Amino acid sequence: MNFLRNIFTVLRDLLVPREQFSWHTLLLLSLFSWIMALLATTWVRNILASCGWIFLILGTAWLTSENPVKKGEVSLGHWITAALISLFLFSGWTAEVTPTVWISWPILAALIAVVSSFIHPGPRLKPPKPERRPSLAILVLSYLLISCWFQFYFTLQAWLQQYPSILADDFQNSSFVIRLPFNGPEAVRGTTLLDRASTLLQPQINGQPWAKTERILFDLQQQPQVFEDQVMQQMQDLAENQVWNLETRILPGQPDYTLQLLAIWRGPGTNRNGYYLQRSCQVSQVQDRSAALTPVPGPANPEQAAITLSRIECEPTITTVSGQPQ
Amino acid sequence: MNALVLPLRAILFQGLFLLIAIALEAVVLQERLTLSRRRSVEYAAVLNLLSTLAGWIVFLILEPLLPQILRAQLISYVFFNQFFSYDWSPNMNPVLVIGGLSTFLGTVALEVRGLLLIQQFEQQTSSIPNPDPPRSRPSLVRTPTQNPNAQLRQSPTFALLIANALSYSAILVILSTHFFLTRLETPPL
Repeated sequence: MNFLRNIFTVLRDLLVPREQFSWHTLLLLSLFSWIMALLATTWVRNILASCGWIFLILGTAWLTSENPVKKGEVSLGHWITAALISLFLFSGWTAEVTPTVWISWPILAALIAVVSSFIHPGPRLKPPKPERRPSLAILVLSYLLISCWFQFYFTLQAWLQQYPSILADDFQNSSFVIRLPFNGPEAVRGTTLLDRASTLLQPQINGQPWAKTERILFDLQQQPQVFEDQVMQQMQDLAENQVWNLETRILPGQPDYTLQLLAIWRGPGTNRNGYYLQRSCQVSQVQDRSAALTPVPGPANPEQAAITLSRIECEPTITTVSGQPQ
Repeated sequence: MNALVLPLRAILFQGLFLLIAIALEAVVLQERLTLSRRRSVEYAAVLNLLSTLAGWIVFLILEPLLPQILRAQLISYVFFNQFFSYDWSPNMNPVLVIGGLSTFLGTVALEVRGLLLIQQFEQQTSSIPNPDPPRSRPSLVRTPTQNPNAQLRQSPTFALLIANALSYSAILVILSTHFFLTRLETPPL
């Protein structure tokens, strides 16, 4: 019986505010609006949800201004209220924390600090005393600086999206960033480049007559740009494509050729001279016996007896060499 | 993405540089502008924060507009603390020199303007009648102490120039030490 009475008193304290005009009322109104919003439909739901947010923000602002957690001019309540306002304004209905939320958060915190310094107990609106002004100015400027730091983080993210192969490298020497790794090292896009190159070459050479293959190899040597452009087109269009180059080396062997595909990186990295990835492919002649096996009725065509076809086999392994190839 | 890349080192370095710059400039301002210690620290703090903020805004505006090659060099410097040099990449030395000089001059100009604004703002809003700044003390007879050299010594522009020169030199010393220490650990390739 006592237990139930305790529960009732707790609930009553929670739900019924002590004074009418207080932060408690506002928080309750916010809860009420949100519950109503859940029951409503489209545009009414948006309005009710917005009302819920606004009541929450006002209630929190009031609550934190009555029980401030502050040291000097820096108050935790400003940051909490600013976080709520940023989320309300910029995170949209999906509650996704966008970069704008992060960057506007310190700016709003600065605004709230300034505004709250204008409000003196009363409530009255009056400019703050001259003794507080310098520390207030320093506070506002520091908060804006924090916002710049957040923006710098997002700039770094944008850079890493445009140059993802950098992530395979080591950031130990950097005097700007620290890297907290989750998994192992990233893969370099050069491997994708080599994969696309070999995939592009295989149908062109496999099963084709040897003469045609030699022609293709000759074109590769004379006009490497054409093949490079073909492969690059298949790659995702990022800024770092400009520092990747695809080159081919044709080493004459015994009757066959060794084709080396090189993906060369001439961009930012711990190695000042870059590096390159190398994959070797064997282009060999194959005697096509199938024509000789199937008997052809009628006069036999002596040239059809054995046609030399070509075959390309690329090694799956890729070696990484630092520096530039000869 | 497999890793979280945070600009913590940049924040740490910048905080350190700000503290050093504020300390040094406060000392200079206290001497040259005959201010109290607390006031000179406040001035130095506000001005340095203002110029740092302006620098960040300039960087954040200019960075997307950089040509691709310069941007790649910037990325190389931020992540690997070095510039890369291939046949086609530009020489970064003139860029660095021009950048350093314009940063210094821009900072001084901004801080001078900021100081004037602060002093004007204080005069307008304070109820205490503002004492005349020393250099405009009216006198019919030019006393021996009021000569152009003394006026120059007490001018805020000169004070800020000296203050910034001092703090920039201190920062350069720290950066050079850091540079040489890291180069000593890894032998040059």
